[in-house]
Amino acid sequence: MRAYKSVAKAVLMSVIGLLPISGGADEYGVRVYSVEFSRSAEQTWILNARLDFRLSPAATDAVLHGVPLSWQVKLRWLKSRTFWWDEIRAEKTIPLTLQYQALLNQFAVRRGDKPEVEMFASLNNALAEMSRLQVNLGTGSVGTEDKIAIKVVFDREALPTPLRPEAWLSQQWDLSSDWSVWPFQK
Amino acid sequence: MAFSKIKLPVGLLAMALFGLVLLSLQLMSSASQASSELSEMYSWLLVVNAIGLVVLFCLVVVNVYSLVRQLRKQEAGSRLTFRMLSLFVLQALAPAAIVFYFSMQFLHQSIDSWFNVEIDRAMEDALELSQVSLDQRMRWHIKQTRLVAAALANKSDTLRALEIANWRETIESSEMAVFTGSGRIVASSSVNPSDILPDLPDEQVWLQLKQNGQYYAIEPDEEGGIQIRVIQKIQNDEPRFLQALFTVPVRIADLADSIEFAFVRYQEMRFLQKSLKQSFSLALSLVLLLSLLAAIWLAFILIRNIVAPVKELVKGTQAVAAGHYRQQLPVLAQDDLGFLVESFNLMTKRIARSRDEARAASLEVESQRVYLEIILANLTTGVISFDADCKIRTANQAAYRILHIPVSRFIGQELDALIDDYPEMADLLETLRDLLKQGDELWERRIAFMGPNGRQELLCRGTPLFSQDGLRVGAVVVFDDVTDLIQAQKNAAWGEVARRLAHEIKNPLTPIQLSAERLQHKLRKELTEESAEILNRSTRTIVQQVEAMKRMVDDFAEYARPAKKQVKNINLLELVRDVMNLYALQSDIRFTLAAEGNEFPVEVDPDNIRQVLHNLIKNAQEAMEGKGHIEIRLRQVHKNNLDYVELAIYDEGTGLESDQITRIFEPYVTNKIKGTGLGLAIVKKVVEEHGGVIWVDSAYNKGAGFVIQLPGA
Repeated sequence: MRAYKSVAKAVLMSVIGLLPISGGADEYGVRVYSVEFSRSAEQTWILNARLDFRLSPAATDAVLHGVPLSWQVKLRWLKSRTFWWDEIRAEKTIPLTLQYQALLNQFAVRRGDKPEVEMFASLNNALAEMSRLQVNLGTGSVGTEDKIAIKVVFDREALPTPLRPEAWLSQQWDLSSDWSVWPFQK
Repeated sequence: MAFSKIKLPVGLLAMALFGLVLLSLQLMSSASQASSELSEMYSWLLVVNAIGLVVLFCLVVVNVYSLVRQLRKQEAGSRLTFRMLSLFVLQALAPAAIVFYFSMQFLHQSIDSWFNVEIDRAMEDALELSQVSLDQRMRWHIKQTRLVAAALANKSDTLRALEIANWRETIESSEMAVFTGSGRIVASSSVNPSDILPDLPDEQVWLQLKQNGQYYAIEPDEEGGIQIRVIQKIQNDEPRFLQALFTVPVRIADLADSIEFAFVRYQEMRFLQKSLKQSFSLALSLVLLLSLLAAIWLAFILIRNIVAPVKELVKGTQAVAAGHYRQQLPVLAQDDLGFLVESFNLMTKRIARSRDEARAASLEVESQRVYLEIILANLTTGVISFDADCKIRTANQAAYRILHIPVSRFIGQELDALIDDYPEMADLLETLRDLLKQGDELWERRIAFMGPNGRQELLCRGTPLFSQDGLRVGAVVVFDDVTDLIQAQKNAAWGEVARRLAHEIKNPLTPIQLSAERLQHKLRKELTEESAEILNRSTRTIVQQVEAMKRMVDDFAEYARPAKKQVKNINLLELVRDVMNLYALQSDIRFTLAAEGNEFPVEVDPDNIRQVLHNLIKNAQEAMEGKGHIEIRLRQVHKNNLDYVELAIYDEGTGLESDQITRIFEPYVTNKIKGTGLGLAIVKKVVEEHGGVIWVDSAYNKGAGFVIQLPGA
């Protein structure tokens, strides 16, 4: 009986069960709250962004069971052009990884390609730390047509293999943000 | 060969697709292992396999649709294809479904067996053991740090800088530093002399430090190991903090890492238990569906190839059944079916040859039959053949000409059908029917009957027909119209009689008459008055009888006289009027002339025709005893593509007896007390000499009626 249910579930899943599950899309995901610009002592442009990471129950459950979650923050320094696509002046991708360290009972956040990790006693602290983004955009003259586009993409392919089909088809795993464009204000 | 050239790429394509499906499935199977390098391609492989599944499904659906259409159209070979395919699908589906079911069962049970409470507890205990071990070590280091902090309390920063190295070595710290509340380093010492700057706490630690006055934590170090960070407030006028870092021994750190890795891995697997089942089930389902669909599609191709010669054979058989014996089929392969096709080709060749020979023979027989039919049709003799049941099989034109019945319309019917439609011919047809049924002997019979043109006489001969086995298969009746022949024989006989009478009897009559007159003249004066009277009476009687005999002989002479016609083109109406007027003035008989028109041109000897009219009118006068009504009718008729002038004379006399009608035109046939009986015989002779016909109108019952038809001019 149990096997029968399993077979039925497998067939159902392979045929129709993989359809996206609707609902709750606004309760979790990533949003870009604010973007500010400043200049460093070396006259480079520093972007300070406030993000909001809200994990779905499935993602929270996964991370508490040791499944690492990865995002990629994509930044584009754009310059508007008339009758044409925007020019991409600079482009940067910053990887973010959140993982639970069972031994230390802490949450580790790895930012960028650096080997060191930041440890946090709680998941909220870790998410709060991830929400603060500071990126050096480099030097360059800034015009009124310049703007910054930010998108946070959840990397489903970094999930364990068995979880990927569900991650692609379930709204619970839609933890990416859309592109948000901010004017480059000095 | 062309067939195999076309089919070869399809086969290769099928094999290539099948190979691709297998490769994709293998890759997906490998990718489903988390450690595999292909795991990054897992999602793509899943999509590729799903697309392959859809493509195969579409191919199968198209093939099924095509097969259903063929079945509906009842195309050749479609039912065989359906049966073979159904058998194949059943044979493939049943074991595959069983294997799938048990595989799924085994898979799910296996995955479930990976996890149980004991392992869960063991893993948690192991982790807790590591944590407790590290916690104890941390507490020990906290205690040590507190002691150092107490020792450094109320000392100057300079002194602290001098003592810190000793304290670090004493408590075996890897790094020790004293810094102010603002983070300025007062003193520091490290086991590694190259580390000039100590590892200062971050903002969060500072926050906690300011709240609690101490901080301790186990954290990863820069080299991937584990270190214990302890920060303790030093009792002083100005706030000072002592930070000591303790490196966890490598062995302990490795063991703790190993336990943590195993625990995390186990927890992850536990979390993924459901996903694992779904993932493996999905892979297995894909394998099953892809394999089944690929197998069904391949089965379609292979069965189509197998059935192709059978289909050709069916088409060929249908073509042969439709009469196309020259049908030759392509030999697709040198196997059993190829042998069958070759045999079929040989068979059709032989059938075609036999058909040609039979056709040639049939044509020969047909030409012979046509030739015989032409002969039969042109025979003046009537021929009717009958089958064993006395039903008419054939009849020639002469039969129609003689009997005036379209016998050929009654093919397949018995003579009774003819009797029903032509009751006036009943006597003849019944006689024929009885003769046909009487036996297997040859027979010959002269049969007389009343035809539409008067009495006819047929000479019939019947011959039974027998098959080679001696069975009676029918009969053939041959008949000739001998009416004219018999009449000619009779006429010739009577002519000879008349000639002899004229020659043998007329010559002695004159001497007899002269001798009688001389006897009277010589003896009248010598005899007594009484005797003279007797002589005179006797002599007169002799003379009268001689005269009568002379007239009789003259009539015969007239009858026997060869025709010497002075033919003229006359209007028969005028001639009739002349004759009629002559008689109308002399008697009390009323004449009426009914002519349909004014011109009735005929080419005749007027004297002869006048005599015909005289004879007929005289007969009528005598039959009516000088009183009554004679009607003469004249009209044009068209018969047998010829124009005739028809003259009919009707009286109101005593009429004719039925037995007289058939013989009234023969010499010495009369119903009058006086007369030679040659009048109507002469009339008939004259009419026939002019190419006409005369008959008694038997339908007229007020007296006698004669109808004469003369060819129009």
